[in-house]
Formats: sequence, C-alpha cells, structure tokens
Amino acid sequence: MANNNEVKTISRDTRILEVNFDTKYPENRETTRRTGHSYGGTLDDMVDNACRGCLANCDRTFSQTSFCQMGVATLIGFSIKDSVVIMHGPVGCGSQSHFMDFTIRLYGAQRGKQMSNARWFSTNLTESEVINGGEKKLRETILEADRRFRPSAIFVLMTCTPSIIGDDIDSILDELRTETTAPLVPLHCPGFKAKVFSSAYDVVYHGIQRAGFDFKPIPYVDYQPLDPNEKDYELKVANYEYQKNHTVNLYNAVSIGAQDEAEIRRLLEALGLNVRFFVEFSHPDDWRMITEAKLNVAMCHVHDLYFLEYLKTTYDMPYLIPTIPVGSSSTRQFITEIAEFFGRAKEAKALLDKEEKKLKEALAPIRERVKGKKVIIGGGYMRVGTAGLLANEIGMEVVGMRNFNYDTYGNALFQEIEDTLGNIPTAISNQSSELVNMVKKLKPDLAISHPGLGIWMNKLGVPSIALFSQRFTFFGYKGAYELARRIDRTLANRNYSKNLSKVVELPFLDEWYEKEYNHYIVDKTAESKQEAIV
Amino acid sequence: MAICGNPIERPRFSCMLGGVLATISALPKTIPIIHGAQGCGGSLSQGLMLGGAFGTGYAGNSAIPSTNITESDVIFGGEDRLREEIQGVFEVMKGDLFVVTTACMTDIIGDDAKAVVDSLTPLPKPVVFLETGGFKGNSYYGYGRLIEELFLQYIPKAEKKDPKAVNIFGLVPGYDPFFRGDLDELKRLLNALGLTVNTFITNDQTQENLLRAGEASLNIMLSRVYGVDAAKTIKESHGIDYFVTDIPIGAAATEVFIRDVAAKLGVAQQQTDDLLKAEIRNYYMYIDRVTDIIADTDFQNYVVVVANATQALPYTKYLDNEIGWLPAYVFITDGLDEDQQALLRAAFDEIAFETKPELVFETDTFKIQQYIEQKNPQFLADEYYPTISPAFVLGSTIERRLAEVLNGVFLSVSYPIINRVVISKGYAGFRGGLNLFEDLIGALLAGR
Repeated sequence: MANNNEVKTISRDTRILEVNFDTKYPENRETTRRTGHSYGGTLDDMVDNACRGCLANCDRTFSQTSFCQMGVATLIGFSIKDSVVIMHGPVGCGSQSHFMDFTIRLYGAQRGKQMSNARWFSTNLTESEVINGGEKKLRETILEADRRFRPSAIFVLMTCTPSIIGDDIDSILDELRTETTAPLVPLHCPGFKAKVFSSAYDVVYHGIQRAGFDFKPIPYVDYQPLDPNEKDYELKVANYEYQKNHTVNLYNAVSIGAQDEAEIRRLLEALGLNVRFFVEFSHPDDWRMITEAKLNVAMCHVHDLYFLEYLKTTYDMPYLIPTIPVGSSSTRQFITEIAEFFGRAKEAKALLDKEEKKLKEALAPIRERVKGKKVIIGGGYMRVGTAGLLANEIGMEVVGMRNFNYDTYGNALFQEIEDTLGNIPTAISNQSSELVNMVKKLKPDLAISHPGLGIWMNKLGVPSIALFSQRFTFFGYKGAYELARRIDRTLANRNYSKNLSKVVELPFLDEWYEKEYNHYIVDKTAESKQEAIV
Repeated sequence: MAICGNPIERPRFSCMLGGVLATISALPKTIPIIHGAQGCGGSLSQGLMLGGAFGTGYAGNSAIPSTNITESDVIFGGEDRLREEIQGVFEVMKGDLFVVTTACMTDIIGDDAKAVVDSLTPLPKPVVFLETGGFKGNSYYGYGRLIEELFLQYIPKAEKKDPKAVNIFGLVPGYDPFFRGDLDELKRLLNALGLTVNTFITNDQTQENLLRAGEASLNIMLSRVYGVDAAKTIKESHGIDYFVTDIPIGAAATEVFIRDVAAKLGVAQQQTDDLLKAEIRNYYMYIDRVTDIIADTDFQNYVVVVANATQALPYTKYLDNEIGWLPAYVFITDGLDEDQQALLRAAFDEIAFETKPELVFETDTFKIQQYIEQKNPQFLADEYYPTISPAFVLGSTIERRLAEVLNGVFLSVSYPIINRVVISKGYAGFRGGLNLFEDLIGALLAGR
C-alpha cells in the first residue's frame, strides 16, 4: 500500500497517470491525465495539443447535454454478480437504470453466469434532505438493501446533491461496515465534478479498492497450502508456479461482449496461456483469484488502468494496456504484446500470420463492394481509432473522427492512424450540433457511432451502426470479419435513413452550418487570463 | 408538493426536471435549456427512452442545450455561464419556444437563473422559465408545473372563449407510454362531435395550438392527480373550467366520457347519439369476430395491475367492466401524498366492479411482489387452495418477474417499457380498447 498522501507518477512512454489510492476519491481525468473533451481541427494538431497538455484547457461557450460520471459509475456496479446499487440523490439520478436489468441478465447468460435482476435503490432525496442532510436516509437504505437482498456488494453512488450539501458517506459506510454482511463501496461521482465522464471508472476502482475486498486467495478457504514435508512437494510447487506463470487476467467492460472475450480467449489459449476475465460478471469472491496470475491486461484502456495500477503498486503485478483489439493491426499488437511478455512471440507471429491471411481472403469480396465509401466514426478514442484502421483495411475512406475525449494514451495509435489514413479532420466532441455541422460538410456514406448519436446520422440520411454492442463481435479476427460484414450489409440498403432524412427537420439554424463546427470551443484558461489583463 | 420521501427500490419515475424535459420534447418545436451539470439532460433522456423507446425527437436528448456546469461554477456561481449559453442557443438552435430550466446543483447554490433570462430580454424567440431542481418533486409534478408556467408566462388570455374548443391534459409523454395514440383517438372522437381539440403533445400540434389554448372552454384532465393543480391555476388565470376524469378505455368507458364532454360543451344530443351508435357497432363487430377463440379457449384471467396514478384505475376498470376479467390487485406505483391517495381511493370506490380488487399504493418494486406472496395461500403448502390463477399481469417490463412468480402471462403497459416499442398505438377510446384486447389475447397466444 502506498504511503499517505504520496502521489506516484507513472510514466510509460508519453503516458502519465497520477494516482493516490489513499484519498477519499480520485481527481477527475481532466486533472490526472489532462484528458480533453472539447476540440475541433486535425489529427496531428490534436495529438500535438494533447502532448503539450493544453487539450484539457478547452471547453465550450455553447454546449449540449451528454453523460455524467455518475451514470457511467453505475455500469460496473450493476455488472458485479449479485450486487446492489444505491443512488444517493434525488429520484431522477440513475432513473435510466432499468435498462441494466436485461443487459446484465442477457450478457451474463452469454458468459454462463446467471445474474440476478438489476437491483437498485434511490434514496429519493427531497427538499427536506437538501435542508437537513440525507445521511439518515442513506443509512436506512443501505441497511434495507443488505437485509432484503443479502447482496455480494453494495455500491453507493454520491450524486451532485449530497456532495454539495455535504453528506459524509465515507463515515456512514465506515460506521455500517460492521452491521452489514455486504462490503460497502463508496463511489464519489457527482456529475459536475468531471466533464470527462470516463473519470467514473477511476472512481469505481477507487471505491472497490477502499471497500476492503481481498485480491488474494485465503488459505484453507480458497486453497490448501502445500506442506514442505509432503511427498512431491517441489513438483507440486513447480506445477503451481507454471500454471500461475502462464495465466493472464483480461479486464472487460460494458462495451465488450461475450463473443469478444471468446475470440481473445481463443487466440491466447492457442499460445498456451490460461485466460481469465475480470471484473464484470464476476462475484467479488472471485476477485481473490486476481493475484493468481502473472499479468493483467486491459482490453479497454479507458476502463481499468486505475485498478491495474493499484494491483501493480500493492501486489507487484505487472500490467499491459496494449490497445483495443479491433481490426487486424490492433489485434496483432494486442496479442503480440501479451505473447512477448510470456516469451511466445514466435508462436504468436505464426498464429497471427495464419489468422490474418484467412481474414484477408474473407474480407476481399467485402472490400470490393465497400471500397471508396466514406465513413465517419465517433465515440471513445481507442475504439474510434481502431475501427478507423479496420475501415481502411477494407478500403473505405475515413473522412472524419470524433473522439468523445482524448489524452496522450492514444498517441501511439493515432500516430499509426495519421501514417495510414493521413491527417484527417478530427474532433473531440459528443455534441450533436457539432456532429451535424461536421457531417454536412464531410458527407459520409456511413457512420459508426457511439450509442445515443446514431439518431443524428439517420436524420441526415447516413446509416449508422453502433461502435460497440455486446450483441456483436468486434474483437480479433472474428470481430473484424463481423464488423466488415455489418458495414457491407448496412451499405447494401440505405433506404431507412434516406427516407427519414427527406422529411425530418433538424433543430439547428442555417447560420450554424455556415460556422465551423468548433466555433464555440475556446481555451478557457486563455480567456480568463485575458480577462485578468483587461 | 407531491413527493413521498421514502427510499425507493427501482422507482418508476424520474425527477421534476425529467418530467419537464419529457413534456418539452413532445411540445411542437420547443427546446429546453438546462442550467445544470452535463449528465442531467442526457441521463433523463435515456430514462425517457424507457417509455417504449420514446427517443430524441425534434430536439431532445443530445440536442438539448445545457450549461454543463463544473465544480468551479458550483463554487463561484454559474450565472455567467448561463448567460453565455443562452446567447449561443439563439445562434445555433432553431425553435419556436424555449424553456430555461434548472437542476439540483444550480438550485442549491442559488443561481438566479430568472434574473439572467430577464437581463437578456428581449430574446429572438419566446422564453419561459421555471426552476426544476430534481429534489423538488418527481416527473409527474414537473409535468404539471410546466403546464402551469406555460399558461402563466406564454399562453395569452382570451377574452372570448370558443364554446367548441377544448384542451386535453394529464398524460405525461413517456411516463404514460401510449400518450400519443390515446390522445389521437380521443381527438378523433371529439372532432367528430364538432369540437376543436388541443393536445399540445401529439404530432399534429403546432405553436398555434399553444397560443390559442386560452380560447378553450374546457380543460379535460385525463388524470385524477397530474396537472390538476395546473388546471386550478388556469381557471383563475385564464378563466377555463376543467373536468377531471380518467382515460376512457373500451366502449363503455368511452361512451361515458363522450357523453360527459358533450354535455359540458352543449353538443346536440342527436349528434352524440349518432357518433356513439356507429362507434359502438363498429367496436362490437370486431369483438364479435374474435369471440370464437375467447369462447373456445377460456381466456378469463385474474389480473394484477401495476401502473401509475393515471393509468392504473382505467386499465382495471376496463378489465372488469369491459372484458369480464377478475382484477385481484391494483398497485399504484407513484409517490403520492395523502390527499392524492384519497382522491384515487374515491375514484376507485366509484367504479362498479364485479370483483373488487385490492388497491395498494406502493412505490417499491420488491414490496409489490412481497405483498402478493405474503397474502396468498398459493405460496403455502396445502392440497386444495384458491389461487390467483390463471393470472395475468399488466404492468411495466419489471413485472415480467412477478408474472413468472404467479405463473401467469404478462403485458407491459406502464413505464418502464423496454421489451417493446410504442409508436402510434393507444389504448384509449374505442380503437384503443380493441388494441388492448388484441394485445392481451396476443400475449396469451404468443407461445404458440
């Protein structure tokens, strides 16, 4: 465990992560990673600004609503087997969570996990608690959740209102730990504290780390310790060591499906590795086996870095965050980095060459049909970048990229993209006004969109497929083929969006389209400096 | 203010802002401006999707302008940011009416959003303002407050009333998932009586409907509780009388509804009789045709209804009075105060049930199932015992689980509905009654 108030700075190439696991909550990613959420320009300029750390200074003078870290923070909590999630706030916060009920049950079943219904409470704060504090209600709700469901864990989400009125959830949770059977996980995720809503993942892992879960197996509970006097002791130790030394933990996310896991498992098992998935769709008791592996690997860099850094600091477990394995180039990088770690680079090369050759043949007829078609891609930047490389692989022209946020963790990938696709128009934006403005100028044939924004593409007459979905495979060779096929079949009939766009009216003024889409993005620090000078 | 303050397991409504955004998204070319954190509008719009996939529409969800305030705004105040945002809105967004709303954090820190709006007046388009901090009430309360403020701030008072014009209120977009189909059908029937109808939230409506709402002679409230306070205010401010009733579902209820409205508006008796005669004949020609399967298969069920305060009683009444099923329980899932509960209990007691069900007010999902389990002998081991079987559950998608426990069949009719989409279908009126019957029998046949 790190010492109190010690800030560790971990450098990995140009990547920087500042972590302090002993605070009540982590800083947002604008601060820890200098992640930007507002930008419009070109790829090379974006990367350059990210390097200089000034992306995070940019903000908008006109903005539209999007997601908050509180909503995102619910995602891991729901996917933990037999958990309960408590929204500590007014009744609207988290009220969209009914969706989670079918997703966790369905996607759990695809992994062979029988999940309970999505179980959640709202403490339902009203005017009276805004005046008198909401701690009493929170205490009651936690006790009721524990009594009613005997859950595996209770995730308590601190929304904007209790954060401002000063409810002390850490004290309440500490106080109740001896009264509940479920571990209590404090999540400090008020929406106003982060514009980069993926800050939520750091919040969740910070909470998990503070909740007192074990990440090491317990002797006589999880395993029988070997007796040095036993016959074959050395052999048994060697067997155990061999297994552990060939075991890799991969970290999943709400954007990653069971078929994605299966495909990556297939490739890594072909290299003789033992593959396991955490933390979603697992029970907290299973987490005790996390340290029974040689290596941790993030499949989505946005998701798990904070936790992997914690495991490294605390248990000396190394980790890799290679890339997202979408498309052959990124899949090769992903598998190769892991294989190199385990000394299987040669075997990996042979396997990947063979897989890639088969994929290439399979993609050839698709390539004939879709080559030259223009595509715009929007969402999380690793997905955007890797999907862009895949689109290029099947001969499409990537006319624009719209990253929801961006930081230097993407530089290696986006350098590859610039080398392969050129210096294409690139935005950091989840804003519909900017999207529509950009699309009107770029005129793509197809969009690959983060859920929630595909509607605008359809209104503009551009068919849109989801950038991620647990319904489909995206990862590895199977994913590349499936995504290419979805692109192909979507382009094969565009009537739905074509018909819609002829009739539907957009809520934007003509004057808006005459402006650049980055018109309202400003350097807020420069602005305040200017004010100071005046 | 109507909010029951207990913690709730899986609440079936959102906050005041959620209800206001839902309503605005259905008003003609009306655009909200949120003074709040960036997630409020997006998350609440995702919540609105749970009303049978009621999506973005003209300017909902990701189109909604929002100040997206940060920690420094919370500390130093966000009024400047709001001023900047409103200026941007009128350079980017194309709307006929704008509504400035607030959120929990801006209400708590005491930003004077109204002063910001006033300081910018005149603005290029009409702007209505209301404080909508989520802790002030639930989505239904938000709906009522918005209607009230639209009349107070935007809808002109008319000296001269149109004796044949009515406004319909009470259904909250998304949270009453069939609101469009319901209103379309009621409008069709009232038009047939020669009435002019403003619904405000169906596809045919324009700003003209809002601007002429003051000329109406009657506000028809399709909810016993939601929007009724607004109706009282409007009576004071605009001199429009109001009539509180229920959504009429099926032939019997719709006949009463039509006769009530016709009487209040002075429609000629003959005209009303002629319309009803034709509608009822048509309705029963359809019912007649499907009766073979009803007679041969015995589709009568015991029913559990789980819905909001607006829908629960009309559905139950239809099931008992119209199609001869046996309601066992009615759960009303909203947070209601004692006065509102008393109003609903009175409305419930007015219904002439063949089998009077038990009426339960319960917001908490777990307790609904627990209530039935603890009260019914079928969960005790014995050889012969009466059960609520065959069982049918009309509720939200959440009630699929309850239907499984009761070994019954299930149809989702109330928020949240995520297992089907709701487009133009409604359950009100004659056509709606047929739609509902079709869906009920359809659910019983779905396994074939």
